Amino acid sequence: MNVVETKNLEKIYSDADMEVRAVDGVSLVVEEGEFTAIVGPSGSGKTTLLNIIGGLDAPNRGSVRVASQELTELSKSELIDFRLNNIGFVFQSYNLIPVLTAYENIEFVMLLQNTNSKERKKRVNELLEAVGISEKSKKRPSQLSGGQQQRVAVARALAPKPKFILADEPTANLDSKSTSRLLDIMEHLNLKEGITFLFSTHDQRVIERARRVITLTDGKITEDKRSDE
Amino acid sequence: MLFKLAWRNIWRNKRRTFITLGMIQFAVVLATFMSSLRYGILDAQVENVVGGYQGYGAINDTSLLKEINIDCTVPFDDSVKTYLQSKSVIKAFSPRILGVGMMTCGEKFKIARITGVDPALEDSLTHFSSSIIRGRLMSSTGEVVLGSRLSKRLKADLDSLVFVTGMGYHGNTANMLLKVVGIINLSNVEEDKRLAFVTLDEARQGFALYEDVNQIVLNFNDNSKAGSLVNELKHDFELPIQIYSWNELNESLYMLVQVNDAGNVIISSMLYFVISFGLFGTILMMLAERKREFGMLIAIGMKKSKLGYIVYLENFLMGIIGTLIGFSIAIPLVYYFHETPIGLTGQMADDVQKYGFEPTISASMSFNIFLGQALAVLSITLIFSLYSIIRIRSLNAIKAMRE
Repeated sequence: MNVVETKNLEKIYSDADMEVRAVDGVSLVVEEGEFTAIVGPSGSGKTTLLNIIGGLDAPNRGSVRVASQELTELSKSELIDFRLNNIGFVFQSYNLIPVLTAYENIEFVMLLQNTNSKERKKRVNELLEAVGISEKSKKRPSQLSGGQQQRVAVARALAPKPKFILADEPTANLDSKSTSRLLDIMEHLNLKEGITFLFSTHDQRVIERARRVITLTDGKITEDKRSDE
Repeated sequence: MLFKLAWRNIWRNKRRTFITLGMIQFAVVLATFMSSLRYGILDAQVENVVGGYQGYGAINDTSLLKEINIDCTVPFDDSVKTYLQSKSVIKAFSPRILGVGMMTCGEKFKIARITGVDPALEDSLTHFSSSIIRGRLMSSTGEVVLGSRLSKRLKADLDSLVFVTGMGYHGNTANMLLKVVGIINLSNVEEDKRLAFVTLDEARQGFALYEDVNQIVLNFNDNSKAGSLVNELKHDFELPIQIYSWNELNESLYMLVQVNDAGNVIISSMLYFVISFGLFGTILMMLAERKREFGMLIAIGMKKSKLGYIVYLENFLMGIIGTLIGFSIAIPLVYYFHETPIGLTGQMADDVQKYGFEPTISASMSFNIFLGQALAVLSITLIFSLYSIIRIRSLNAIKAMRE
């Protein structure tokens, strides 16, 4: 089943002097259960493509279907609801809510979904266990290391049971040990739970673990390589 | 959880929160204290002038509003008494004959206002027996109680004889020989300089006004509603007789109240204008500081309306906390100056007394003052907080997260 399907995506940023094609005719299919990295040099359009797939940005042309829903047909308000229920986000700089504990950060998105308290408690504890951070559940982000914060961010992204996880340079701020631990967890979630991951990354360690690597150059897909090929 | 998030957000930048709370509480304390003093001064003066003699309402001939004239009369018979007693809003009434005459004691003389009253009814209205500083109230004809300043002017004391000559009803000559049986200290200085009380019977005989009276003075169960109560009763009367509230009877004092109200609004507005800028600055700082976080929250699926609600709740809580801290300081402060009025001395005291007021400043403990200030601060907080909602509504999640 296709989780993401884009056709001839185009995103153009323009001002008075120049026009930049950040995404230029990208057609892409991501299937359920993939562990895919989008790579490319800075300015190649990785983050823009991820933003469009995540419903945070709109393309100038082309279509983007996520979980069989055409995103360009949704209003801004509908997009927020769609993101909440279908897409998990992991950001480069963790972006946890600083005044909430690790437990509460994970629980927060389920509250937005109006999940009942019993189910919230069960799922948060499962996720804390899955990302190996149960003992830090009452700590606030400022009391956690970068790696621990990113693991909380992964758990938060998984909390609303999304169709897939979008991770924008998730290891960029992590040391090698934390990166390795995070990748182990994500790989485990992918293989055992069947959760689909789509990364943008520069990090060779992530690229090596990815089972599919899509290379983007000047907004175009120049290579799409699967590890079994 | 949303409340918890709002509450914790307030304390994430303690210094900023304390500055904001300090600003709000300073404004509440200052505005409340100043309003309490201004209203306290005025309440005391209204009580002095209106409660001490004039009354919160009166039934009289329309012409009496322009000048005191013994010929302007109202009936005071059994039907009038029955009417007054049937009105539950009226707490007390006192019929008065208002004469003017030259009062002489030995070689001293002064124009005096000779007020004929039923001592028992008058006492139920003004409690004037409690203001007697020497002697007693008059109880029969031939007796007079003098204002303390009037007695000094005439060099009259207890048992002195004073002679009054003046104009009686319908051109009759009024002549009265009266024995001083009491000296009264009226808190309204101007009244104290010229008022003399005699019994209603003495005034009837002296001024040849044998049936009617000049005025029936009223107090209500709730004097603060005198205006509206009087308006409800007006249709019971036919001109030229009418019922009036204290503000119609004493327009100059009422104007003073109005001017005070306006002054209070101006001063409070200036204070609130200053804190409005402070609050606005705080909101701008908070929005700039948390822009990235707002972007992230929208990205992960939080509706802008919910986010706006949290930020609004934060500002509301800060407004409430600041106001409560302000009140915790303002209430004891106001209470102290309510219980311990500031006494004026020297030229200032003389100037105040010229207007018939007591030379003291005391703070009012009126609940409305506290309520008014609380509502003003909260309104400002909530109005300025709307800006944060507007900014959040127009927020672009991607741009916000890039900053």
